[in-house]
Order: sequence, then structure tokens, then C-alpha cells
Amino acid sequence: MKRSLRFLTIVACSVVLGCEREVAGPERVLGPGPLELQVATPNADDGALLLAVSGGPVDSVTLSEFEVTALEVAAGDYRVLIHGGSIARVWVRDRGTRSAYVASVAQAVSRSTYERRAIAGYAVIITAGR
Amino acid sequence: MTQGVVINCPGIMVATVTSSSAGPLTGVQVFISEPGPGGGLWLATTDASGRFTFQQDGRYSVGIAPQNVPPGCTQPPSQIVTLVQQGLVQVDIPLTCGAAAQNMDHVDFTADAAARDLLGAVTLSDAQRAYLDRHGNHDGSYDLGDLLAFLDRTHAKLAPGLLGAMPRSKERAP
Repeated sequence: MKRSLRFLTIVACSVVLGCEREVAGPERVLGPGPLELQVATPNADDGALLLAVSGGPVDSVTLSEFEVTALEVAAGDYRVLIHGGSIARVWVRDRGTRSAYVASVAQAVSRSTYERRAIAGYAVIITAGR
Repeated sequence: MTQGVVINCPGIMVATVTSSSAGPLTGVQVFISEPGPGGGLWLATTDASGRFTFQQDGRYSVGIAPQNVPPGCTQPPSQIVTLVQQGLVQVDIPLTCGAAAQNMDHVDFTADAAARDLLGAVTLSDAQRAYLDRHGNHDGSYDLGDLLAFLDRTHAKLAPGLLGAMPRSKERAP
């Protein structure tokens, strides 16, 4: 009985230590792939959005539902233009570096009047895509 | 035996800046740049006869930066000039000014040029930006609303994806 208890204790400790090693280990490398930029907007009729994205290299920008185009204005500093939607996908070399990327809305305009809107209520959420 | 003497004379460019309404223009600053990263950049100013000369072999882009275009005139497109030894190249840089500029300021730009300009590259002239604003949200400057109005009006599509990077050394012409 004592022997069984000692065995179980060793197994339990191994499992716990194993979990701890998993948590404390190096950041997982996710490899190349997309980061999703989702714009949180206070308005329902944005006609177009201009985003500023920085933090690292971007290989390409895609989106199937809307028109999206971008330009690298300085090293690692991009402007992304979304026409008719609020989501863009930027392709990066390592999705594990997602936290290094930051994005903000630089301009937003009304679909019907083309007037520029105050950007205070806008935010961009970056998530690692699949 | 007579030995020949070889004189290496670099190619020379004689350029003239003229206005459609006022003839030769004095004191206009023109840039001469070598393409590619790290390429040289020269600035020349036209003399009393609207001319300047430049002498050095090579391939150059010659033009006038938006901020140096005289008021009321449209920015002319840059020209590619190749200078070779002992060659003489005459370059005419005509500016359309006055009423004619107002009438033609809307031509010769694409949706991609309009988008690139908004994204940070300099691909439109001041007159073209003013035209887009006049036909857009009319708030005094070219912005996203003006581009959206242009896309709606012309049914043009944006080039998808990454349009590339601005040249590091010359993203803004002098």
C-alpha cells in the first residue's frame, strides 16, 4: 500500500512538473500565417477605413469579401485601406509575434456623405488567424 | 607616330521649363534623381531663360516636386533621361497653368494612384487632390472620403493586396 502511494505521488509530481515546464517554456512559434485585424466601430455605415499598422514586416494583405489595399510607408509601418468592410488580414512571417503588432484607425468616413468621422470610438483588435 | 588624345566628355542635358501661358519660367527648382536605393539626387534651378544644364553620364528621373510647382500650374510627369558620353539631350518640361490647368486637373490619374497618394506615397499633384476634394466631401483637403466618392463615381476597383513599399530614400521628392 505504501509502495503504491509512493508511486502515485511520484507520478502526480511528474505530471505537475510537466505542466509547469509547458507553461514556463519558450513562446510557441506559430510560423507564417495571417493576423486578423477586426475594427470595432461605433457606426453602422462606415464606407471606408484607413488603418495604421506597425510592429513588424507584413508580406501581404488579403480579404475576400471587401476591397483592401496597403502600402509600406516606412520599415514595418503600413497603411491599410479597407473599402466596404471592417476586417483585414495581414500575412506575417510568425504569428507568434502577434503582440508586437499594433493597429489603429487613422481615418473613417461615412458611406453616404463621404464625411470624415471622429475616430475616438474606434479600435482595432488583432488576433492570430488560422 | 601620332598618338590620339581621347577626351571623355560626359553627356549633357539642357532642360527648359515653360508655362503654357507665360513662356519660360525662371527660378523653378527641378530635381534630377538616379533610380534605385542610394541613387544620387541633384537640384537645379532654371535661369532667366527657363533653362538649366546638367552634365554627367547616367540614367535619371527629371521632374518638379509638388511643392515647387508654380501656383496655378499642374505638376508635369517626371521624365526619364539617359545621358551618354558626348551626347546632348534637350528636355522640355512644359507646365499647364492658369485656366487650362483648372480644366485638365482631373485627368491622368488612376484609382491606384489616388489610393497610393492617400496611403502616403506622392502620386497626385496638388491640383488633382483639390479636384478629388471638390468632387468628394469638399472639406478642404484630400482624404478617405474623397477617394471613396471617386471610387463610387467611377466604379473603379482598388488593386488588391500590398502595393509595395515606398522608396526609402526618395519617398518625398525634394
